Amino acid sequence: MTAPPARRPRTTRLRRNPVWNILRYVVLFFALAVFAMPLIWMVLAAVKPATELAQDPFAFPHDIELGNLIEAWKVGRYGTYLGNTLFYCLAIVVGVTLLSCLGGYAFGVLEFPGRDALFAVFLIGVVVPFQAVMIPSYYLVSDLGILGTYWAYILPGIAFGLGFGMFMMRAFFRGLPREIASAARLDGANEWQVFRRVMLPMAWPGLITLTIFQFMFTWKTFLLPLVLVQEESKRPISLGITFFFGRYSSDLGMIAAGVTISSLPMVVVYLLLQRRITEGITQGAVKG
Amino acid sequence: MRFQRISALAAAVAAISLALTACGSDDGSTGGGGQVTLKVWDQFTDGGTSEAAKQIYADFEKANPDVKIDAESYRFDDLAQLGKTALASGTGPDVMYFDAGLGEAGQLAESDLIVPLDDYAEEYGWTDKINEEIRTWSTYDGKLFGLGLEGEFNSLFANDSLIEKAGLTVPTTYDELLDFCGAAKDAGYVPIAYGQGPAVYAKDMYAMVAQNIVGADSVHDLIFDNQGSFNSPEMAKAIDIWFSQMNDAGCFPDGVNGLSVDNAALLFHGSKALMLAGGTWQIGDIYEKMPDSDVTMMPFPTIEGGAGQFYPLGVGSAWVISADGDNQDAAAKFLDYMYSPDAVDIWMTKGGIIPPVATDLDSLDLQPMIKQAAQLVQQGQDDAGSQLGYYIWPRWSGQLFNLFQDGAQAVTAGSKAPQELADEVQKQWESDGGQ
Amino acid sequence: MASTLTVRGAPEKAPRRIGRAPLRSPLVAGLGFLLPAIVVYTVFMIYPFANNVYLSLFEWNGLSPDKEFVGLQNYQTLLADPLFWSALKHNVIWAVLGTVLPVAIGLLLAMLLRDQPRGYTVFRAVFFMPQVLAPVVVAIIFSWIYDPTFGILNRLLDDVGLGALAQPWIGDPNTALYALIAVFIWVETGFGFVVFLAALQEVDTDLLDAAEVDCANAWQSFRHVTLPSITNAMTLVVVIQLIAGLNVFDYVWVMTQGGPANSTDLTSTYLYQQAFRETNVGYGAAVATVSTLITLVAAVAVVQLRERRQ
Repeated sequence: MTAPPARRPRTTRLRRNPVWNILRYVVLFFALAVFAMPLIWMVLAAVKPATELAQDPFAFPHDIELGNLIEAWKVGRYGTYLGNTLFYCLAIVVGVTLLSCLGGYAFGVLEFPGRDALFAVFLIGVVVPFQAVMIPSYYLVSDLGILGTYWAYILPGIAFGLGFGMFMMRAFFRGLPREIASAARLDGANEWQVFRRVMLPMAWPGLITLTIFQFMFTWKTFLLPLVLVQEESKRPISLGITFFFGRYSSDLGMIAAGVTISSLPMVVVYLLLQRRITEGITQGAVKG
Repeated sequence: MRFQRISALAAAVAAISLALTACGSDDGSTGGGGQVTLKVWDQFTDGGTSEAAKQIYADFEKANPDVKIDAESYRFDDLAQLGKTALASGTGPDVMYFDAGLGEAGQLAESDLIVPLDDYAEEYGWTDKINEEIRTWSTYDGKLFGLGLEGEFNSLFANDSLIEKAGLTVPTTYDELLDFCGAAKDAGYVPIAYGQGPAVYAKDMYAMVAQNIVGADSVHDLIFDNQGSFNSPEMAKAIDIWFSQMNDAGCFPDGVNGLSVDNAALLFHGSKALMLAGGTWQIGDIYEKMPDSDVTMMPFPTIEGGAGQFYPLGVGSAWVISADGDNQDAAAKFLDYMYSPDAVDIWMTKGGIIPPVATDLDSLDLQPMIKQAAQLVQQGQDDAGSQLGYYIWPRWSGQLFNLFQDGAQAVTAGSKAPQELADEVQKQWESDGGQ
Repeated sequence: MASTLTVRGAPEKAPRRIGRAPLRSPLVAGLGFLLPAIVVYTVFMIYPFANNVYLSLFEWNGLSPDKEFVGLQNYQTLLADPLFWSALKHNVIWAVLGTVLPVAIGLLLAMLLRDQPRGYTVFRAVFFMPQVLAPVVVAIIFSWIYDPTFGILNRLLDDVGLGALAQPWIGDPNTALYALIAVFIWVETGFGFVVFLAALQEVDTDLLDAAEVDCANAWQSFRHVTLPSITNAMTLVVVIQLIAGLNVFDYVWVMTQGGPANSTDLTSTYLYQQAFRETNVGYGAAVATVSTLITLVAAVAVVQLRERRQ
């Protein structure tokens, strides 16, 4: 649904110039090495026997040892953490996209008094660092009696996503042609129907972009769950892994295994959906 | 078709709310029928200690069927931050194993968030059982608020076989130590495995060197009775020796300000470093990682014109009981169990932890250095001719603690003079009220 | 009574009623759509933030039930606090380098891949990859890369004959901040890259061809055709990078905790340290309020600046 029209890659003078081609591949391969090496090194370190690792950290392993990975999986409770993370991601992403979609429509298409002021208030949410509301949030969550439940992280998590969500969806709805909405209104559709039947179907690219952003953001969030999630059994992976690192702080093989296991799911998802994700990000971002 | 997707979203949300309500309802405190659930937050996150704790908790539950333990483990730093907020908001645990520093548990006590244990101490006989020196660290304003579990002290470790192989001898004076550093470096070894990025052991090394200069009694008077000062030439010299002179003499690995203490220890485990700086909590790792080496524990070498050689003793953390809720009695029972002979056995053999209670060490199967450390800890400071000194940092405020860590790095980096840091320490100490 | 939402140019006409009655007024409709968001946002963002501002007027250790009202004293302290100013300076350096370099490098790489040459998909996949890693994980990886004794960076430099350049990277107060910013750049470049790559595909090819015919050189055509066509993408990336740069926390906290010798303290780590390590909750709240304001002003300024230019 987000596939762009097949575009003719432009052929320029430069493309035909061999010197230019060599030069640019030198730069590209250098960049490739810089971006890929740390990850490759980590994966190698995870499967290398300790002795080899100490001797030459760069060389490809002679023997592949899965002991570190297996032990890290067992000790690190990654199964639980991963499940929790997916759950939090799902809940927060659904919450943020749903609310931002409704709100973005109101901000982007409707006109009502105080609209822009209200929007500005939402924008503040984009710049507030979590540390600024950390202590009040803890008290709030405990006063509401949801501390110790999944809600303790989900609700603040949604609130933190709303600033950016509103910003994106407003921009997206603004970019949609208004004539269709007007026409629908003329046909007697009420505002809810205009939104649901006419505008929303056109807003999918924006929603997908937001979903990806929010998913990645939630996947990475560390401080929020650190403060608001107390039980180990409810911790997401970004938090769980710090415990693992604390415990194996000086065992490179195990750390590498932890890094590999905790990053692998996201990397695989990314590689599988690569085009979707990169295009999704830009659909909303570039046009919005 | 689009509507279906939206409805699917709505259904997903509904499903999540259901799941959440279902998951979020088990919040146990006092259950019916006299059954008590004790919420315990500890710091036993690594292999040995976490196993020991689990087993001891389970044994306690078996011995006390009316009490259930609901334990969570946190890293030291995380607990220091979370524990305070949780207790203050009335949502904390019943029992915490918490940083015993004046700026941490001391603050909890000052804010009446944890209960004084004096009555329980009498009831359970903790005063006789648990070392007085260890209890001192969690006594604030004359009242006992916590029970230390891990008696620990700072020391150096020497890899004797490797030192011999390098053709060197273990230094006994500070001057010899400086020569030793130069010779070790020339021979291709790291003289002392020590890291201060972040500078978590800086306060320990400072205490160790300062003690050898001014003596344990002076340190005691300074930190407990506010007699003397942190910016005396002697105390400044302690900073100068460890953070400046020894660094200049090449005693530490390159880039010491960017090397974590754990990675520094790797140099020692991997036979790249001849000595290791730290304390008794490292003994377990040494035996595990270098079973064939000949490692001995040693105090910092004597300093000319100094007071001798000391191992600064203290506790990092102590058990405290929340003032909130009404599980204090059960919590005290739990605390008492932590020091029972069965538990002590497990703490020592499995966790490598040295509880500050008299134990028949010979009856336990202990590694030599653990046994040596345990003898020292259990004997205490009062013994004439004791080699034990005092920790300094637990009597510091959080501000002073941070100031020192940052300052130590600055002295090593050459951007701050030792006396300057000493003056800052004294100034902060005074503004904290010089406890 | 005609429920017209004054949508640009919508002619007024009495609606045929189907289903429910149309919503009564624009305000009701607008708020109706916004209500759920407003509730969540107010309770979990506005209220805690207001609470934070309120706390900044007190001296409080976060523990005792009593807070002492001190008015603006925390803000006065802050103005005279050299550690706060040095943290803010680091933030500015971070925000500038952490915005300019990822944008520049991302744009360069996007330009190189603009015509989708051989290997395009692989390059694109790898350049963006760091974006999907959790900052905590990235920080762990790089603490090993930078480690003065075990790190592969120094070993790599040695192996290629550049051993003289080996450094204690995050161990030297002079290099630590830049070593951390380099990590941030490593992560963030992929974002701008992907956005620019897509934006470049939208550039009008006819204009580029025309420029080529006019014998404009590559730089001229970049400057006068390409760059103006991607301003939207540019603004978006710059603002996002700027905010990310000003609020960065995890990398620093995991790798150096603001050290050595405060050389990598940022306002975020400083306020965390104040509020939690040193239990100056009131003062930490003041730092938080000020740094939020600074980020807000910076973000608004960038947007305004761009809009005025256009």
